[in-house]
Amino acid sequence: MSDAARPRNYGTHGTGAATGRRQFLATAAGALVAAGCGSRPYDPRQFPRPERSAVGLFAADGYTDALADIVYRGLAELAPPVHGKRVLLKPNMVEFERDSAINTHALVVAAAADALLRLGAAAVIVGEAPGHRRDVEYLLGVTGLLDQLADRRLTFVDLNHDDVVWSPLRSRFMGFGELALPATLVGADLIVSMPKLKTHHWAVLTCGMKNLFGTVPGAVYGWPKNVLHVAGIDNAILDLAATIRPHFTIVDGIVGMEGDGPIMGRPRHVGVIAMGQDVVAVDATCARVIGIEPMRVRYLAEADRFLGHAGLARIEMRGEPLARFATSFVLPPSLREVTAG
Amino acid sequence: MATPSAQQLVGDALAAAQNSDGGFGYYPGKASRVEPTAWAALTPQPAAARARAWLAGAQSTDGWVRDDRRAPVNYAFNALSAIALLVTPETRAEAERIGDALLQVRGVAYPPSPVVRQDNSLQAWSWVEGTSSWIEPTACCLLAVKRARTLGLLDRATHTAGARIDVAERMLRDRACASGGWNYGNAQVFDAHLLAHVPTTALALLAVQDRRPAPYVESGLRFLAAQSSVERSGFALALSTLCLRRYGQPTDRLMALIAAQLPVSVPLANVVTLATLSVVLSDADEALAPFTVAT
Repeated sequence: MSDAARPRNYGTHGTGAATGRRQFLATAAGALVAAGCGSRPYDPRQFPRPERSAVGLFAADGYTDALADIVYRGLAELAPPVHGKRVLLKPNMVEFERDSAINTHALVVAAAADALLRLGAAAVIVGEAPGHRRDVEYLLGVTGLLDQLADRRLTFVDLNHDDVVWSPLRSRFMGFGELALPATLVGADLIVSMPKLKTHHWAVLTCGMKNLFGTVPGAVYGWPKNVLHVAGIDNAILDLAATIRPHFTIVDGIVGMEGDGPIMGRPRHVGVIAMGQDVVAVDATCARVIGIEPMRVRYLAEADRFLGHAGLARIEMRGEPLARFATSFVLPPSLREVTAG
Repeated sequence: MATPSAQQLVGDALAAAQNSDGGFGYYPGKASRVEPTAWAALTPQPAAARARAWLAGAQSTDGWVRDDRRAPVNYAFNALSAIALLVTPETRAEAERIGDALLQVRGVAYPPSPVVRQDNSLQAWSWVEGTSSWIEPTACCLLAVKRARTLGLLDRATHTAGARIDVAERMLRDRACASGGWNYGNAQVFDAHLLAHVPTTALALLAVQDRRPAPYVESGLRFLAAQSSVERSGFALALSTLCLRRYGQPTDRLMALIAAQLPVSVPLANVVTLATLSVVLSDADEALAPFTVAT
């Protein structure tokens, strides 16, 4: 059954500041609940933020070989050092329907892998825990990702069925103390969230933060990670983003999805690749691109209080101006109050 | 039937994936887990006996088979374990304890919703406690309960088992897609018809094999017969073959597709896929017996 019949709940507000992700995940007693965090479901001291977050928008008209240079340019300008790092690319690959725009395009994933290796990454692994289809052999084949991986001799890790590491959550919007996370994710030096830019009929927008649902192992929690839905989608998005803290986000917004996303919507050409280190800022920028006011997206408004920057004044735009790509995605009727203007 | 080399290829890959404790991870080198071990225990491979022993050893006093004390009990994987432990008389007591436990759990009920026009009151089986009923766990649990009853077990709970079977079948009928077959969850959301999936349809059909010629069963069977050659993966092709054989349908074309898919499936080395392939590549008459229920 869907989440529609379930009450949603949202965490309390707070502001705040962070330690390194891996250091935190390795600290069994971590979690939050530190003295002084009051009613906030996180310890603000764990979430330091820069004054401003840089987000790059890069024009990409289609899925062509030119993507490698575009993604390389963005990574070179905006990414943290990757030299010698073991990088996990986490695309969105959840379901398949021909002529739809459900998944991060295989050529965008390939472009990111090429660019990272060109920048000196020690290894690039691609991993995903599909929320609908368990059968990654089918998804890899039908999306074309298997061929791209084979051409580059890249490893794919089925995160639904990986070994798990019980990891304390850095925030407690869901009320959980810990979550089983894939060992490959926890062991990566650098995590890159690679979402498809889509509307989402429950969460409004699915982008870099929501994409992290696809790191939760179905073999522990079942499909479609229903435990997270029961705890509140927005709460789960916040806890996952606060705990995993992807180091970089690359959004496939070349062809996004509007309407009844994330599966049944219509493809919509936008022609943009968005990138940045602050996943909240990247998501907020992508929301603006498709005509959604980010502060009306509950998890983005909440994340803006402690995890990253969603406000325009705190985002430093790089690459092309937002106006070049600005459009208005069709939303499901129940979500139209979130549109900008 | 497949060539001996295909059987050998899959059997060797499966044997190489078995851990020293007798269990199987989802992939070679990974920690032993309930689901891949249960599927391996259902194969006609030599590794199956030790896999069954691993499952029996992982059973708690409450009846549940677990691979991680911190993780929620997975009802679907326990159902597969029960089906695997029913294979030999020596482990049927363990299987019956799982069956008893399965009869006590159910998915959460919800009020009617205009967004999801289905009967949310039907409490079949969820993946884990406190969540909704879904197709795959419902199909696995239904098949396990029916299989146990076919072997004369769960007789102390005959009334309960009958009621749970009834609810689970009503849930599967309610969630059948307009195209025939089953999505992993709902049949529609926001008035959009969702896609039926081949593997979930095959599992659901196995669970209702004793309900022919109910229209929702026949409709699912037509979907599977038409779509089983479209979803190309070792797992989807193998499950489809297993199911269609149980329904007495031809599978020669699927076996040819399996042979063509092996160069992809075997290197990926997903143990659940290898195990299902092993079942359908077997010439042994008894290979399908664990998936057979009395009509």
